[in-house]
Amino acid sequence: MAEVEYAELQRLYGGRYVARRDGEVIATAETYDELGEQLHRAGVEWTELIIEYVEPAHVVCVY
Amino acid sequence: MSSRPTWSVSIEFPLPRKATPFGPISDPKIPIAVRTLAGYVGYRFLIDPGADLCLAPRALAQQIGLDWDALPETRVVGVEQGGVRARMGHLPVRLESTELVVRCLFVDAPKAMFILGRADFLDRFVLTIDQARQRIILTEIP
Repeated sequence: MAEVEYAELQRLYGGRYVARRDGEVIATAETYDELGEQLHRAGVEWTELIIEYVEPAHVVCVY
Repeated sequence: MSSRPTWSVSIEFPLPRKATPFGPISDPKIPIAVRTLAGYVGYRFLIDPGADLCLAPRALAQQIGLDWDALPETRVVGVEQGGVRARMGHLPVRLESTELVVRCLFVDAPKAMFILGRADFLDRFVLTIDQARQRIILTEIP
């Protein structure tokens, strides 16, 4: 799996769920449910994906 | 003498860094393959030794074939203390060649995270966050 340039993902997609294929972002959404609907509508092969939540750069996460 | 193996398997990952209002901070997320009804799908999970259990969004429970209504309900409490609704299920994952089934709280909230906690996951590994080499190392406990 490709190493992630996370700061760049944050700059572009902070606060969103992101699906990548071969390192390329192919879908993003505010919620995981919405991301799933997008991928389903697009007929994407899920087994080729890396999915994650991208944390916004303007917040501190302590979970 | 014990017949248990004494060797350990170590798995290494890059240690990414993320931007925060207080500058870059290491971000120990690793790729995990989750066995869904469609096959194995890759997710990046945060390794969180402070989390009792693994966490994932509710929809993932359905994607791995769990019956949401049949799962026991609980609440997950974090730093905000308010808590969110969740249900407990078992998440089948693959970490390189290691297959695991871990208890997971599937969170019924819009911004549910992908988190690897202690029960069934970190309790099985020695976790090393190597800042000097910028690596995350998980060594399976024999």
